[in-house]
Amino acid sequence: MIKKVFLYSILSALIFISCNSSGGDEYDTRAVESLDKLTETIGKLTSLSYSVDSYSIDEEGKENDKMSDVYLKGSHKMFVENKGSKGNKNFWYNGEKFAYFLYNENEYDILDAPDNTLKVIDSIHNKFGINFPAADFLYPTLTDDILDNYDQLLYFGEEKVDNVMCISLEATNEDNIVQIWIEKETNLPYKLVISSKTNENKYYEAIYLNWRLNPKLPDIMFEFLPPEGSERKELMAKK
Amino acid sequence: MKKYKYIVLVIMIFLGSSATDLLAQRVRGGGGSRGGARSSYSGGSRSGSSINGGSRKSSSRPSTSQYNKSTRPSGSNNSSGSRNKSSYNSNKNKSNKASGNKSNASNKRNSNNNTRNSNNRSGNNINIDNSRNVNVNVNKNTRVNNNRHYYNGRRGYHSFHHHSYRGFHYGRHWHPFGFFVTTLAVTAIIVSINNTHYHYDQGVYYVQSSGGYTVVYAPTNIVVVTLPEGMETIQLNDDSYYYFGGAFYVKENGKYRVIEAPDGAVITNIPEGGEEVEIGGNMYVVYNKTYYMPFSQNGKDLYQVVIMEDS
Repeated sequence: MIKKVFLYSILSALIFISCNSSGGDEYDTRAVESLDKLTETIGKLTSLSYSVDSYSIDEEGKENDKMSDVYLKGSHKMFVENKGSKGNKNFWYNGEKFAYFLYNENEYDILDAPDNTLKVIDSIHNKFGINFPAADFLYPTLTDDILDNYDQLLYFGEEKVDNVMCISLEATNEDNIVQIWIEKETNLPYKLVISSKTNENKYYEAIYLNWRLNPKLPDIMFEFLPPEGSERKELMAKK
Repeated sequence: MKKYKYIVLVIMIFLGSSATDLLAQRVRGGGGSRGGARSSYSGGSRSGSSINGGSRKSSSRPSTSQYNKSTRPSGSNNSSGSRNKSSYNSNKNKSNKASGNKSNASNKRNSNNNTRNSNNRSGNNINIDNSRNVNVNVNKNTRVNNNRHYYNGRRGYHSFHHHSYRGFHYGRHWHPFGFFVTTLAVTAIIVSINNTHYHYDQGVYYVQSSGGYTVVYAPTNIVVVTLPEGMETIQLNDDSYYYFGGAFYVKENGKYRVIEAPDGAVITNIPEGGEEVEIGGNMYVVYNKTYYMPFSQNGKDLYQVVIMEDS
C-alpha cells in the first residue's frame, strides 16, 4: 500500500511539473505558419548568399557595428566576411577545415571541422563563442527551437520596414524579447531585434539584405590560403 | 526499494534536462524557461544538396491559437521607419536606450548601407585599393533615356525596392581594375586586338606594366575562348549574352567576343570598383562607363543596364 502511494505521488508530481511547464504559453498559429514558411524557403536552397547589417550592445554597454556577407553552398561550404568596429575577420569552411583570418592582426588559424555547415556553426560557437551572422535562420528546426525556448510567439500582421512589406512576429521568454520581421514577398527574414529583459544594455539588431537564392558560387571561394606574411595563431577557446 | 531508486533517478534526469542551457546562436541561445530541447544541431551529415538538409517540423508541437494582438506589449520595438535609407546618420543615438524606452528602433540605430563601402572583398588578397567604392553625387547633365524599353518591353522595376550596391568579389582568381601583380598564373594566355596584347586569365584582363601586370577593363571586341565559372547567361529580346566581371560577351563560332553593355540586360553582380551616383533623384551604379539600375525582384538583388544620354 505504501509502495502504491509512493508511486502515485511520483506520477502526480510528474504530471504537475509537465502541466506547469507549458502553462501560460501562447503561440499564434499564424506566427508559427510564417516561421514554417521561412524555414521551408531556406530549406529548399542549394546555395545562398546574403548580407547582415548588425548592431549590438553588450552587457557592459559597448557597441559593435558589423556588416557581414555570407555565402553558403550545399550543406558543407561556407564563407563569411565580417567588417565591423571590432575589426575585419573572415571565415572559410570547405567541408573539412574551418579557417578564420583576422585582417587587422594578420593572423589566422585552420581547424579540423565537422562534415556539415550547421555542425561547424554549432561547434565553433560552443567552443570559441563565435556567432555566425543570421545562423538562427539557417537551422531547419527554427520554428520548433522557438516554440521550445520561448513562452510566447505573437503575430502582429503586416508592417512596412524600410518600405519593405513584412510579417511581424514577436517571441518572448523570461530573458528576452525577440522580434522578427519576415519579408512578405519572399518569406525571407528582413529584420531581427533581440532585447534583453534582464540586462538594460544588451541589445542586438540586424537587417538582412542582398539575398541571392541558389547563386552559382565557385568552390574556390570556400578555400583559404594564408596570405603571405600572416601568422598562424591558435584560436582561443572561450572560458 | 531498489526499483524506486531508479524511478527517482529517472525523475532527476528529467528535471535536470529541462534546465540545460540552450542552443547555439542568439535566438536559439537566448535563454528561456522551457529549455533543453535540442542542445546542438544533430541533422544528417551531407543530406542532399540543400544548405541545411531541408526544413523539419516536430511531430509534438504545443497547441497554437489565433490571438488578437493589435498592439505590441510595452517594452518592445516598433519597427516603423526604423532605418532611414535616404539620410544616413552613422551616429548611434542611445538616448532612447538610456531612458529605458525601446519603443522605436530608429532611435537605436539610424544607418544606411549606401555609406558602407564593401569594396575590399579581397578574400586572400589584402592589398586591394579600398578607395574605389564611394558614393558620388554626380552633378552632370545626364538623364536616363526614357524612350527605351527595358527587359523585354517592361521599363524598369519601379514597383520593386531599390538596393544598395555592393561590389562582388568573384573568387581567388579575380582581381579588380587597377590591381597590380608581379606574376601571372600559368593559365594566363595572350589575346590581342588592334596590335595591343593583353594577358587573359579567368575572366580578368591584364596589360604588362613596369615590373608586372595591371588589371584593365575588358577591351571591346577582343575574343576569348573560355569564360570562367560564375559566368551569367542573359536572355534579352531573344538574344543570348554572357556576362562576367563587368564585361558582356556574345558567342561567335564557339568563342566569346566582348561587346558594349546591351541596353536593358539584367545581371546579378557588379565587381568592386563601381560607383554609386545619384541622377534625377535615383541611385545608379557606374562601372566602366556603364550605368546600372539596382533593383530587387523576388528576393534577388539585380542590376539592369540603362543607357544615359546627355541632355
